[in-house]
Amino acid sequence: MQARTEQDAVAAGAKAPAATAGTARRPRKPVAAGKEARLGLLLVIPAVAVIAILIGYPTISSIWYSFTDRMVGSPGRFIGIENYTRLATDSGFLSAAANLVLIVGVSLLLKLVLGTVVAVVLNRPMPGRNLWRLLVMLPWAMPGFVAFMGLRLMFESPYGAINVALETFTSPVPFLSDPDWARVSVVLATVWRGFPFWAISILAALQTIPKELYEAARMDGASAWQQFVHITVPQIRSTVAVVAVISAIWTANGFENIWLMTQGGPSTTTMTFPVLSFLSLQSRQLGQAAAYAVVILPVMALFIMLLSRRKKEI
Amino acid sequence: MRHSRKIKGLGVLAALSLLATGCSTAGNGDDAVAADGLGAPSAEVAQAAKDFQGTFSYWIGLTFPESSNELEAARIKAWGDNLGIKTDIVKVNQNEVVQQTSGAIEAKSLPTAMTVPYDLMSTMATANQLTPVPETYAAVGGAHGGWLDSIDAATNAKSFGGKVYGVPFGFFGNVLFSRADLLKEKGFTTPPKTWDELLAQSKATQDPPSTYGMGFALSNVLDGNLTTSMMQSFGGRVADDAGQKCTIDSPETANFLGWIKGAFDAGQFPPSAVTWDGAGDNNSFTSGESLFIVNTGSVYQSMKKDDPDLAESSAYSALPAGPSGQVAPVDPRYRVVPSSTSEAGKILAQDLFETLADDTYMASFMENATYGPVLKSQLDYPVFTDSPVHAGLLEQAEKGTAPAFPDTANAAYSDYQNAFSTPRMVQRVLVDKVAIDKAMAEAQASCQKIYSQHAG
Amino acid sequence: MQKRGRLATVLGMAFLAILVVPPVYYMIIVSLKPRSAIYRTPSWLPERTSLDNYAKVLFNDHFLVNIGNSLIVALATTLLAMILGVLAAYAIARFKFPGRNAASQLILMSYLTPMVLLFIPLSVVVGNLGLADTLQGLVLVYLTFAVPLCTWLILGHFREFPRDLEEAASIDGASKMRTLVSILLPVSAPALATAASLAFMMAWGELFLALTFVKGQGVMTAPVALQHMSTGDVQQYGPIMAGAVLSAIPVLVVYYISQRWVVQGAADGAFKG
Repeated sequence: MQARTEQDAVAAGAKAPAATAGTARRPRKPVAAGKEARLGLLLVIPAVAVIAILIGYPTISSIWYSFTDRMVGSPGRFIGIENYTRLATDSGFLSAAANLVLIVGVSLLLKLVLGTVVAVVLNRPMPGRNLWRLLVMLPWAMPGFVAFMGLRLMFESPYGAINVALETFTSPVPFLSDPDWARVSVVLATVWRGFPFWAISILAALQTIPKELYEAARMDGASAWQQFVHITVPQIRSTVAVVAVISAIWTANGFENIWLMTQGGPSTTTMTFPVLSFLSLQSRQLGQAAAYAVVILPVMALFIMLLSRRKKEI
Repeated sequence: MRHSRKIKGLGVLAALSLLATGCSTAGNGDDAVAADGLGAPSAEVAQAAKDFQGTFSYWIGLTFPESSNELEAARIKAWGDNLGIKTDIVKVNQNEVVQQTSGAIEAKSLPTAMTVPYDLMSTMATANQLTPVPETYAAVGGAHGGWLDSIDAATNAKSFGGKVYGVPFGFFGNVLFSRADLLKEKGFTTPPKTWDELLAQSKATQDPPSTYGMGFALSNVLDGNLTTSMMQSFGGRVADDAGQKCTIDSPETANFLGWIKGAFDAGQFPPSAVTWDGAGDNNSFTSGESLFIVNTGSVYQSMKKDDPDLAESSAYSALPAGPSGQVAPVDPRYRVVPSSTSEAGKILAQDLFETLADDTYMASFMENATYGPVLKSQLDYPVFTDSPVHAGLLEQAEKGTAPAFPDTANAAYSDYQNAFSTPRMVQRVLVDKVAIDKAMAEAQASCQKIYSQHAG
Repeated sequence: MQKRGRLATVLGMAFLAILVVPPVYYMIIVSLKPRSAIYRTPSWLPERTSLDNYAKVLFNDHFLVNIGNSLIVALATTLLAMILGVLAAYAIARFKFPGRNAASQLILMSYLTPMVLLFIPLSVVVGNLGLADTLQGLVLVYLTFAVPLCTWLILGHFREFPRDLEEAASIDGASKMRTLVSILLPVSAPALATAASLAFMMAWGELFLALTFVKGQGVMTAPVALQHMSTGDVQQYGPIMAGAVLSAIPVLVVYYISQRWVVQGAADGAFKG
């Protein structure tokens, strides 16, 4: 871990040309170690305490619940892995598992492309650039449920805004009620709502790239595309990795996007784990609800670990 | 350096804001009706008001239109002012009442008293989370000509072990809305009496894609639970008479699923009905897309305001019957006292329930809302003759079935309903094209899980 | 070259406009229409428009109170999360102490837990602290997502940033905390601004937890108040969209301010060491 951090510092050194790579490797002064350790602990404890109480305790409770038949207001009994074995034959579960790849994966890819393009556009000099940056924030600036309610008004059939616009060309398209269209609509809505986060994060990374790098490249006769591939991409890669992880977790744990657009329907076509969990909560089955939520934790953890191994920054 | 100064400025602002958190706002327009009949309290109530600590909090169920919620809030405030106790009225949206109550039960932060739907009353009562209120139930009944039979049967259901856990004040019912103007053009002058008649009228009258016959939600929302009543009217049952063993997987259920599949495949449902949200049927009917919908009456209230012509050209009637008869469950709303409430709070809450049953107040409240009557004195309220939808609710009060009927009303049944189990089974057949037997077997399994949990 | 640059700019602007404007435009149109016009005669044109929905939201529903609550909650959440996040990230990135890896893993993993699941155990915690139905309670709950988010974003930045400057300062005798405040924080302005504005926006728009943790009229945040405008099964699209437009304004202001920091930070030239 330590070695990795040192390497990162070296890698980051490339970003600041003036930085001397040697200093990052300089051995620590051993005298300060005891005092340093104490200060380090002191600084990290508040955050760790908040997480332990507010997330650690609830998460451990939830994992415990998932092995019981607990209901709201009654402690329930330990029933082993029954809540999990049930899932194998649960059509909702199978659909949610498929959607974890399909809806979450495709949204992520689209957000990456869109976020990068928008960030690059916003980083160029253009008239009223600050206003454009504000405009791009709009999907993210309104409360999430309002955004999805508005998008539902757009996708509805036959009176949704998109169908109204297409009226002269085609009969109403069942954007939300046809199984295939429903997946497409949910992905588009999720992407529209989520891309500003990618755009502003990548934009922030772009702004930290020293201009000299591009100037030097231009002098060497590199094309715009070559500059993008050889300078921009390496410089924003670590940001993209972090953003991808956060965004993947948000999308996988997202509730409003699905619930307000399709409630996981038609049937279980757009079902996700949070929606399944919520449906179980509606019938107060805490144990089952917990199982639906806990079952994706290993998958997500694996995803994050893979990504953090490849991109050492995390 | 400039940055840190800015950060400091923001910090001061945030700290000030945190300090201001304690403040809250209140205030509501008073109303003569709200204060009607408030006299000097009995010695017991006056004593309880003196003993009561803190604020009397009441969660009212938020319904359409807003004026009814405001009237109720004003009434509770007037009652509290009369007794000299502080009241805090919290409006809880019907769609979130299960989630909010669950959180509050686990956090032990339930209010002093609250309004809940039948299902929640039933599940909370079975879990010993409610105080029995038999005297108040009897007193309110006695003072207002007695309870209607269907309501009394629901409140005294076997699963409560002879105890009464809530005081009903109105019920949500089901009224069949039909586009009389369009149906008349095809020669249908009376509303359909059976589901088959409705299907026939729908087939003859609809003109897709501009109009569809059967505007019934088939999605994972509470409106979708109409399919449970349909299934029951075809003879299908959720569970046995003891209310312990699921019996979804039956020839009658198969019959119902076959029927609804036939209607769906024949294009009688608006295609979007499989993903409607709670407002789907409402939007579909008011936009002119659906010929028939089933609704508690809120659609009528909103049409009366926004589109009086449509309200005028529609007919309102009882739910159609199936091969096994009519299943039109009343869904009473209860005022309940959580068992966590203090002794003084319990006495006060029950006094409040009697105060809220006052006929002058209730007549005005029901004028503003879409509840059906539960007390015999309520049958004479002008709204039940003046408004066609309320007249439909009155009819349902007299002829409708008890909650869950023909099934046994208990907590397991309520949880089955709250998980939208029937519409999910129906969608498996209609959308996923799964064989009827397979869909029934799946529904049977998840239903049995809920029932077993309650038996254990 | 010049011409191609201008063309690219115009194309870029057109792309942004097509991407963002139509849904936003439609939502604004809806906010100006009476209920009956939204479904009965849907249209992209501003027919039968009025400011009635805005008047209702502002004057009947006292929406400004809710905006105020959201502002308090979002600012407090952001501030607390940033303080905790900066300290923890600094410790993990720059100090050697026992449990450092565990702490950094915990912060990363804590991000995984779905909110749908957290709210019941969390309501037990908040209930035990006596903070049910208060804004303080909600701030506490929001720290569950804001602290890991801020810590993580800032940590990534601190790790990337070369240590030379700090080490130079420490040779000059500056204490570790002094180094953090006077060297690391100023040059981290863009990352700090990004983290803070993300935390602010998430706290600003959060609905699911707020629904459970703040119920009273006086403590409702803007999203909860908007949700309450739909009662029963009648969706009040007009007032809700009007409220949405109003509640987007503070977020845009916050983002605008934070953008200026970002630009300022970049202009300070701190990155060149």
